[in-house]
Amino acid sequence: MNRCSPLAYRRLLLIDDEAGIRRMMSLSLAADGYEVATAASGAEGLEIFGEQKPELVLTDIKMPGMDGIEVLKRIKQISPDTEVIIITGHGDLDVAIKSLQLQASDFVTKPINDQALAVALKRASERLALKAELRSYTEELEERVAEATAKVVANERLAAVGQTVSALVHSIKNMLAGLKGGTYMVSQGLAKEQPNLSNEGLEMLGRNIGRVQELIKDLLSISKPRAPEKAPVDLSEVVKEAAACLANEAERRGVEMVLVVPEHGGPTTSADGEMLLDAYLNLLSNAIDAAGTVTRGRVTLSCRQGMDGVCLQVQDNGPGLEPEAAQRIFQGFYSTKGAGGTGLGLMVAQKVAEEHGGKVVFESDPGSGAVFRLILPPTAPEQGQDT
Amino acid sequence: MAKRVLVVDDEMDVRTFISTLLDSNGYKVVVAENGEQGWDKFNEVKPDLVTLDVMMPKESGIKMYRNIKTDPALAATPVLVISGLARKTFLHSQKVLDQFKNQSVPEPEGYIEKPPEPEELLGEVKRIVG
Repeated sequence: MNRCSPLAYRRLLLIDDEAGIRRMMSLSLAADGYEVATAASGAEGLEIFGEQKPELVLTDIKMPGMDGIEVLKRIKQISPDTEVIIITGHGDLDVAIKSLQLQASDFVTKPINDQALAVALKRASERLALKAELRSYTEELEERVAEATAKVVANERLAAVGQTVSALVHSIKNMLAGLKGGTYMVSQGLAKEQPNLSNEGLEMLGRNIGRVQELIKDLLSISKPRAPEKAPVDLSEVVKEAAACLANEAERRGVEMVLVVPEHGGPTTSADGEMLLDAYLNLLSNAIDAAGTVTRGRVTLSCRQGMDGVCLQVQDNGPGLEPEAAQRIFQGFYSTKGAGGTGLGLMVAQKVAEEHGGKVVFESDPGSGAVFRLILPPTAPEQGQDT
Repeated sequence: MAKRVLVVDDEMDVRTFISTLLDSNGYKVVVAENGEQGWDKFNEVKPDLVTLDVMMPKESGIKMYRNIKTDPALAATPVLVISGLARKTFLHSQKVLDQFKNQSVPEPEGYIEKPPEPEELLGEVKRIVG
């Protein structure tokens, strides 16, 4: 053995019940550069192994109490990568073969020939080095795969937004036009001492600042990677909360809001309650906008338990969707509301539904209103915390 | 007599801005919210100039533009396009339509990309109709 080169794997545990062999071998191994720990029995050996986790173990086969085969089995169970070399008596070939079947790295026979031991240890070290290299490759590979996967996911998300970048630019240009226009009106009002012009300008500024804020909020919720934090959700609570959020808006638009939900214990599902509310608010706000354009506008909010899942529903008696609009509403940046919408609300609702394994569907005929449903799959028993 | 300008844009704020600007500079302004309404108003008021947005719901500005420019009786009415679209994109779409329909529609008298600057807009309107 080359005594000059430092050993990469030098921590070694020697288990033998004969004190003489322990003393002699440990001296010889220490001289070869190994840090040797010794144990007089299988049990003691396992204890020291648990504490020190040496890379190499030399163990005698025949020992009182726990024998070497059992030690080998236990060590391989705890740490499959540890190299275990078996020391057998002369002629114990059957035992030696059995130990190799149990993943022993090698065996040496008593009386121990130093050179044979050195060769066995060298081979064990080489295997350790190979395993370490393999492990680092695997880890690096896993890391790279994770990185690449993250990139692909991010790109897909960008692509989904990217398809609509030109529409986004158009939408921002319009907001800018509103902001410039508002500034002009304010300055004209001041120059000509016409407060009404300035007031109108300030309103324009406020309105367009609001549009920029809405757009940012919608863009963020579309592009942000967010895993749903699922918990049992009572859908009738989502309906009630959404109704409370938009009660003022409905009143302002002269729209009657009708809730058809049970007082207690509506249909439940496992979902992210906050995301669900966000999605439903988008559907409700669309419905109020639609109903607000007709006299005696009305929206009906409900939730249901069906055969194929649970559903949040909102129905309006607005003008309904033209076939052209019906084809385009899920694309993003398509709004029938002009300055009133970012054209992203339905995308937000659809994204939330998809993240929950569900979908958004609608029925509409021009002139007779529209029904939008956010359908979620029934809670799978193994996922549900409420079952 | 004050020149009549028809302002066609689906954005209320843009309509308000342009009409305030032109109104306070001595023009008579009529507004419309989309190409369909714009076409009706056009035939009603026979404006001296049309400012025209391109991307609008219901009917885009492209159809209205071609309606004006392919009718010999109306083609002389100048059109100032005010759009979020780049001028190049608009002209390209016109060329494609020209080939498709085997027509030759002239370029608009003026083109401003949104958002319009008040001075630029007023300058263009003055240059075109005086």
